[in-house]
Amino acid sequence: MLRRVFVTGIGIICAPGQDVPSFLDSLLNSKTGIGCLQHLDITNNQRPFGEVKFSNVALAQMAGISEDIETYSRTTLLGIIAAQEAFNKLSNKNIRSGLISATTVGGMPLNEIHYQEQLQKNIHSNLIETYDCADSTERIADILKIKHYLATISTACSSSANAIMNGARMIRHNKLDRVIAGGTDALTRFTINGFNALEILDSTPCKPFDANRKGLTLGEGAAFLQLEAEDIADPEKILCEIKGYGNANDAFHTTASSPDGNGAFLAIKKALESANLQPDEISYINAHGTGTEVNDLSEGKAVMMAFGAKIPPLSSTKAFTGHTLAAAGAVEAVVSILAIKNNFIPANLNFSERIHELSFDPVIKCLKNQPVRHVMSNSFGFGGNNTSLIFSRFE
Amino acid sequence: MMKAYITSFGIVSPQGSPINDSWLDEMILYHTSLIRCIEPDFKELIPPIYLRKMPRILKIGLYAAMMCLRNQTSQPDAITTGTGFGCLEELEKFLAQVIESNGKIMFPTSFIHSTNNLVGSQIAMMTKNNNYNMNYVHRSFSFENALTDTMLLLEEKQAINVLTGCIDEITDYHFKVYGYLDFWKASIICNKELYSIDTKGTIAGEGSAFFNISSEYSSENPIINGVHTFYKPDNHEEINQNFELFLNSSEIQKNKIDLLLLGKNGDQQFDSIYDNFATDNFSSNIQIALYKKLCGEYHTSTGFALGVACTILKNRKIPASLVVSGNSKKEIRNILIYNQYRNTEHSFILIGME
Amino acid sequence: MNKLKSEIIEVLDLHDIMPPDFNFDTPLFVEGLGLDSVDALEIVVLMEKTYNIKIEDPRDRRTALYNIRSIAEYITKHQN
Repeated sequence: MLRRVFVTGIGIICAPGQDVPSFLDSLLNSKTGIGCLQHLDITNNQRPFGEVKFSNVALAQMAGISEDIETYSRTTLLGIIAAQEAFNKLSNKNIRSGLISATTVGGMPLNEIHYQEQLQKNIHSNLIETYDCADSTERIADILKIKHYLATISTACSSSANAIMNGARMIRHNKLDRVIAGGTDALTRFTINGFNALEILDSTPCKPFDANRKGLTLGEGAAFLQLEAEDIADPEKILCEIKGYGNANDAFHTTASSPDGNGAFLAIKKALESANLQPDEISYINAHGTGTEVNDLSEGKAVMMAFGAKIPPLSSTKAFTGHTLAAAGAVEAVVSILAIKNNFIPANLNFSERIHELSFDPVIKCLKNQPVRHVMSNSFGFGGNNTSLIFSRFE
Repeated sequence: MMKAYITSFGIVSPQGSPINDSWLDEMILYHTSLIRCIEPDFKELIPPIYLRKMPRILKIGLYAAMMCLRNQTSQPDAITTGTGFGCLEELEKFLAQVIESNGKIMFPTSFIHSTNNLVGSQIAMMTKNNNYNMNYVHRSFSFENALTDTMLLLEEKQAINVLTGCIDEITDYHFKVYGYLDFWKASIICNKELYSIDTKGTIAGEGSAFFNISSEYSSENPIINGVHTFYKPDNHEEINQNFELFLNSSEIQKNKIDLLLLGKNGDQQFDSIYDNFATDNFSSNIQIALYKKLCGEYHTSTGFALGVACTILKNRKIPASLVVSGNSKKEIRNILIYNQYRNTEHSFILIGME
Repeated sequence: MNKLKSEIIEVLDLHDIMPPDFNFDTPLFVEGLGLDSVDALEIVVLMEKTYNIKIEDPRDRRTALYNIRSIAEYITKHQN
């Protein structure tokens, strides 16, 4: 018997909100979190970013860390904060609990500071083991006391969507009973320079799905969901159901999505099939919508292929948060879940002109009192890794 | 627990690749604490147009994958990969550029090549595979995470054949900084002597292993009877409890296990964990083989171990370079691979023949 | 132009895929060598770092980067 999978907790920290209530407030009031860098020190920092509005010292306090603070990278601190918010302690010790997290930068915030020095001499050696991708996952596991199953996924921008999908799969097939699933990524000089070298950063805040879009705005953040099997979930705590999911690959190019949107279309199709839903049952699509020329066009085409003439209300929320890379899937899962619980559809900010090859405009003003039953959330990444998740109202 | 069949595999390692039945009969010796892969002629399996600009780790991973896919008639239904540290060399290259250029213009290629799922996505590109593609980056769970995902895909009937693999490389910088933490042997030894010297530290290695894993029954192929991971056990009772749990779900009885393939790495701080495990759970004459003297220590070394196990089962003999303690049995039908990394990530893989 | 040619071969690792008749007029993108947008970026960076030439207008890139001769001509034209 395959078990239904429910979301019983959510946690988030990102530019427009340090927790779920403040994030919801920003979404409802169309308040972006994108602005100038206040905490990360880089040259040529005139670009806009979705930086979390707290220093590492403040984040450590919020995470309840008081010892060895300097050994916690920003990625880890963000992850701990969001995971703690999502987690409800369970008294039942027989529950098989897992933690599936995701990241692309890992401990790079610390690595890039000390790299040059460490080339020459043995200094700050207590930091060396924090540079990899698993450090944040294991620190979170230690705090939440999860030991049964740990995994960290890294598939670029679809990473945390994949973490959620795989958490759901393991619960559905009775491998685990509960999973904390999500991801975290912090802004780093490494990624800012990398995306800059690829010339896909906009010098003004990103304009998802706009004809004059010039690129993405980088952001940072962390988000986690607590997933539970139907037989252990407390009905009072259920926020929604994970109804379906799908992953497919473009197999086209290491950084650009395939221009016909094929991989994205396949992921969307798989998700609908696994949810046993027809396209016209989707109330809202939270798009990947990074604001790059290539992504928004290919994603738009994929949506048109999958939904035909009846495209549901669609928006990208990256103009609120920036592109949070590995955390994006989980951040946008939280948006989707809030949309269901609060019956609203967030705006696609900074839009003014339709992309001429597309047949639709995104939602440009926040729609309130909107019955939202099934939400599709899409995350399409570097390396052509595409994931589509479907969240449904608990019924 | 789901059972799955390994229909083919490919390996690139410090002991070369399994190109014929005599692989591992002779141990390749190293007198250094850092042992690197023996690189094949990549052009044999990777078209030059793809090799262009390709970082070393990608060439090694792709070669192992292509070796595995060589005799397959159809596309894998999914691709799952694991890597402990990802593409270190390219990460270091781009990081050096970031520091040196200080905000000025930079070459983008090594940034692209530092993405952790490079190998899996490149395999998909080369083979035009639009199917499920997943990559894990959790230290010494990375390969096991990929394998667990694969077993689940087969159980879900989302796939019949899954290409599952792993890759890790060692760079000079990485070796140096982990040296600050006394990870490596203080003095140079021969890898053959890895277990004769009772000191701290081990030797660093690297490699790639890819497997085609199928749900289709075959009497001739090694069977994966189970994979299990667990984190930071408090004591060896907890290790044993996990082992009991694992055995129960795999439906293989303890007395049917003919060989323990252990991840002992010569580090006196942690090797006793394996000794205690063997003593607690098996008779004193259980056969034990140790694989890390062949490939060195790295997060996805269990991929190499699985390749070694497949070789033993298929050829019905233990290669000479794998000196075995315990009483030699007539036939090896079931092998337990047990690995742990600094008593943090622990894993079991059970593999056998019908 | 020979110096430029060897620099481009190095940066883009063209050694094994150069056709035997590869010369200053061989088209680099689409037909010819079939290089991609990332390769174009690498050439742009090379031009800036080695020759201090910036291609300000992205639309100029198509013509400037067509083949080695056109790159050399662009560099010479904008050197001062």
